[in-house]
Amino acid sequence: MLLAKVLGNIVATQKNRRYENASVMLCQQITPEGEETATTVLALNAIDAGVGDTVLIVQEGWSASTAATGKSGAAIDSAIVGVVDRIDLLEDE
Amino acid sequence: MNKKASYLFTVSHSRFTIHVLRNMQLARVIGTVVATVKNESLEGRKLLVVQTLNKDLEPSGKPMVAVDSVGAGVGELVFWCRGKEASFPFKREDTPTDCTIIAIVDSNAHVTQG
Repeated sequence: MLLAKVLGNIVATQKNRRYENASVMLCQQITPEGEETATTVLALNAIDAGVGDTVLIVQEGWSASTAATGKSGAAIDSAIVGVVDRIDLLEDE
Repeated sequence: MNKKASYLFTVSHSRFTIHVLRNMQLARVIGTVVATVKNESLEGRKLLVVQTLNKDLEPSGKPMVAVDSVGAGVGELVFWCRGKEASFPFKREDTPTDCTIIAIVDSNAHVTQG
């Protein structure tokens, strides 16, 4: 799973049938400390995550399809499955 | 911008380099591929060269080849699906692909931020 920040969303009219009624979010991967990395990824919104939220993205097909559409077997490989409230890390000594 | 940003990881060897792709990313179609001799289940399928993009729609990483499932053309903004699921838009066991274009983004303005 990835930690990421939601940047915005993406509108596509011409798409795979299984993506109907799904919202695709543009996300930026972050470190546990909250720093942004160079990687941007897309993910289907399986919960109601909004712009600015820190989220958990699952990058495995069966889990992503099931979470986002309720059924497996769709051409979906990433989905937002949680909104992170806080991350506690051990302090550096 | 980090050149490797569009890959999950890269395995290098003295004779070859394997780039393992990241899941779902924005990309621009920059060309087509013609292959006469290929797996027979790939017949009639369109192969496109795609350049991955970052959040500002600037190129990031190296271009690569993807199979098309939605009728994308050169110049269009698209995104793909990776892994086993990439063959699901086609008849399941039929098409050997690990990267398939599954949607065309309406326009640059339809990628919103903030």
